[in-house]
Amino acid sequence: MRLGLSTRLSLLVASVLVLTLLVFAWFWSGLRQTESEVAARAAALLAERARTDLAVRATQTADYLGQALVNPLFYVDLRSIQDLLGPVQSQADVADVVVYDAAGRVMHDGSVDVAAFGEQIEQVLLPADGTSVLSWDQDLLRVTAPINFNNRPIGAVRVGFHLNPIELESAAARVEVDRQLAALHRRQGRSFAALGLAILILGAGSAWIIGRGWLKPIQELAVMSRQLGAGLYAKMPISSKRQDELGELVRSFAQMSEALAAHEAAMRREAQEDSLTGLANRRRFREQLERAVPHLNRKKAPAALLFFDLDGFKQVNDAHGHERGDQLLRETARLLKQAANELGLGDDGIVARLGGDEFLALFTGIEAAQRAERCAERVLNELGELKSIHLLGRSASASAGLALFPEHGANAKALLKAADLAMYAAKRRGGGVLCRFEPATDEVEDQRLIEDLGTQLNSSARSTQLYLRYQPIVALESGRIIAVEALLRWNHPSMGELPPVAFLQPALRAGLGQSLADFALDLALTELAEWLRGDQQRFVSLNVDPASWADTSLADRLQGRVQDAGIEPQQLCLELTERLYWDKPDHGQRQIARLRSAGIDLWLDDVDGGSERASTMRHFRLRGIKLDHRLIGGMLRTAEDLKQVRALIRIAGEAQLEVVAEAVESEAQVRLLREAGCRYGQGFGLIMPIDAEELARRSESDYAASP
Amino acid sequence: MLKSGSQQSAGRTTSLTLAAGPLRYLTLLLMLLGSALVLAADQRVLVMGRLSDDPGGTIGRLQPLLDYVVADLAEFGVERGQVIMARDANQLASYLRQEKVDWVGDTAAVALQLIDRAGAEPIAMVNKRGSKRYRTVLFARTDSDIDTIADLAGKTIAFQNTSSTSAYYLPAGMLLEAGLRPAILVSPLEKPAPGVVGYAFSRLEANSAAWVHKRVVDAAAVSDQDWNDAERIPTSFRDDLRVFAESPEVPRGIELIRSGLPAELREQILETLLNAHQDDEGRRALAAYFRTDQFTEPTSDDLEALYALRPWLRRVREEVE
Repeated sequence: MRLGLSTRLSLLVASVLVLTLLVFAWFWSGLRQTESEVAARAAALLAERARTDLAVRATQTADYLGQALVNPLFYVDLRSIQDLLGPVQSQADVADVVVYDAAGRVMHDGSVDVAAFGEQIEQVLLPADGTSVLSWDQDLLRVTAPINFNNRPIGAVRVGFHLNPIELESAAARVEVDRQLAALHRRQGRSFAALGLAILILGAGSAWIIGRGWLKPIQELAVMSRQLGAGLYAKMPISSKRQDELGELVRSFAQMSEALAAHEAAMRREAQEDSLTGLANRRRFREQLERAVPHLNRKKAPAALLFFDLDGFKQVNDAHGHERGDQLLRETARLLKQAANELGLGDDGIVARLGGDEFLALFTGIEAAQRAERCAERVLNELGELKSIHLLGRSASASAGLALFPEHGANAKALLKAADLAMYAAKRRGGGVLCRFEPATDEVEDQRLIEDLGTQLNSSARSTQLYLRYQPIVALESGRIIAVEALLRWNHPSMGELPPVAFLQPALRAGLGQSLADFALDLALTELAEWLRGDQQRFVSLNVDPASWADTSLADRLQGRVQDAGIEPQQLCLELTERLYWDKPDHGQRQIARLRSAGIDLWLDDVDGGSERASTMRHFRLRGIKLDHRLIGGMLRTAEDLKQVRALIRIAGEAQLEVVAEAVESEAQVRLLREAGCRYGQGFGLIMPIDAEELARRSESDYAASP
Repeated sequence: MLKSGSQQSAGRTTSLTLAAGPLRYLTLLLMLLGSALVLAADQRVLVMGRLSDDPGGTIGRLQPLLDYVVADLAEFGVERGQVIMARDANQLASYLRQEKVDWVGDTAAVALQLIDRAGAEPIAMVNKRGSKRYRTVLFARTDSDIDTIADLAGKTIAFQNTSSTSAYYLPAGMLLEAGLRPAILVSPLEKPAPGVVGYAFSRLEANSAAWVHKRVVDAAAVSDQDWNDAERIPTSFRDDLRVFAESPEVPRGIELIRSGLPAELREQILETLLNAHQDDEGRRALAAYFRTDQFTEPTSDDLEALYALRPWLRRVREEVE
């Protein structure tokens, strides 16, 4: 059961009050008992004292009589005996006085006519040592004193004292003491009741004050805190005029709320905005597109996706510098945004920069295709008319591709790929034009591309068009480069720089996968041999293609290359996807076993949760896993992704696997990953893909900077 | 608290009195003795003597009469009166001879001894209850088998003390007259030898009556005056007692003066005594003096009755003591 502070406080106060009252009651009852015991003891002492007094008086009286009666008894002087006994007998508590001789015959009983004279008394007591003897009866004290003549008893005198006067007096005293005690108890009771009431009022009052003055602000803060947690920063009226710690807390809370709101806004911008152009970034675009597709499906609304790529942008950069390149990118963005806005993007429309010199514009709703086409025309025209940017006599131009939803792609990925391919079609036509996606022409284009690729791969001289870029994998803690992932690029003479997505699938379909892989492996080992030898901890990682994976001699070949390059086997790693493995698990098992025995390390690529568990990870006998870019991208936005990232890192840790986060794009991601225990990362946010020379330079400076 | 305090102090007073009792009397005695020795010679003090074993009780009876008499002797230089107590007749006789005592009043037996041994002169007779004579009665329990004096043989009898006329000299004389042999007992509880009459002194008439009543002794002797005095013999006792013998009558009490007392003093003392019953102050003094009615001058009968005791006394002293 969850107990609130105020409930707990109330319970605490109530407990303390009850406890206090109990202690009071206990104390009081103890006091009363003690008082009663003292009174009883006092009465007993009083009675005891009275008895002692009586015993002393009785002894004195008897002793006196014993001495005074010697001569009278000797002479049987009854009158003198009577004279001596008279005053004793007249005492109020004296019951009887008897003088008897050695034989126990009564010589006198104190009466005028000595009525009992000569009678035999029942118990003849003649105290031998000359001292009187006391005997306590139920209600009588008898004291017997010897009457000695010549140190020999000639008789004795016995005086009886009533005890009931003592008892009556004691009882009366007890009654009086009890009466006074009762009065005292009444006074005490009133005092205790008043005190208890005062404590009750005090306790209730302080509970009310604490609840009112302290708990209420805390409860309000808790409500605000929940709102904050839900991301509702909007102008919460947090303020306090209090000067105490609570006021301080409320003000701190307000400051924190503002800081959080600002931070969140900055992060949101950072995460979703391209800082150079102010357009949405790749991620934001992808999300928007993925969100838009079901909307459009539901509404059965059409959409059109425009894909722009500046022509010869690399040359612009090389020739005019990055500043001029950036300027061109900003201008392009401005033109695109302006045109798109004037034409109308539609409900789910968006303009974005994908990265590099690539731009996208999504149009939705009625006549999306027409608006997209007009937009493309306007942008291409206006780019050509750009006066503000001097490009050594050349005007800026771009290639544009158009793909329609749902005809060219029924999902985001397909639509994007269609637009991309359409744009490459425009490139192939020399740029500066808009091409609509056409599947039929695509295959023809592919065929030409494959031919070109085959020429490049089969030429005796090393290809100058195919080259490798290295995506550094860095230690998040130190920022140092520990490894690289080799990425194949194709600088096509007519189409410009092509990413693998543009030629990899056709190449694989054409059976060029193995050749491509060998080419990449050879090139990487050649370029990186020196770098790898510089530190045995460094490694290069290559994505394994289906053709290579199917090759049973893969391990042997790799081992040969490793030996040729003069590096350690574990400095070459393969990145394997789960799908590739599960395609033929038995083959996969054997392949892994061969690679492991050759000393080649394996990484599981694109790990995004779900099926990956510690057991699975162990099953693959991996060196580590690479967290998928979607997971890393979503980590900042959704709790589920963040939770997933943390879980994967923990599971990997338990399986003693290394973890590399892919597509790390921001400082915030780095911080979260480090907190979660992830040690390595790669992505634009860390270091962009670089060439081998740059890698060597950076590694040197890393070493120089290292302690 | 206050109450118990007063009780305490009362108790202390009592015990002091008790402790100092004998000492005080001794001091008083010595004081009187000393002053008498000095003052008797020039007769500025008139000294009265008395036999008593209870000086404290007795003096209150004597002093009023002595003061009454002394008041009339001022013209003779007598300034005040003093009382001297003596334990026995011999002592008193000695004081008279030494002129330490001027005036003595006592019963017949003692008076006779003072006359005989110190030459004292009887000057007045005591009258009580209309009589200047009294007698001894012998009594026993009504249920006793004693009917005559003779029945006392083998029995015990209580006397009062050796100075008593009515409770010693007279009854002892009666026993002798009856041919009995009195023998003193160590204790009244003792049994006499066969044929002998055991006697013991009871000190007080009341004891004598109690002894008989409680069968401590078989009989006792008291004056007829005491026999009829309920204060001396409680009625409850007397109901169980009966008189079985009586003595002849003897003078009740005699006032004597020492030989050699100046005649004018003697005359004045006598005159004052004889007239004392005439005025209130005198009557009060007489009442204090053992409830005396009046004094009368001794007649020849009185003196004869007194002197008739002389052989009894002699016989008692010779045969009993």
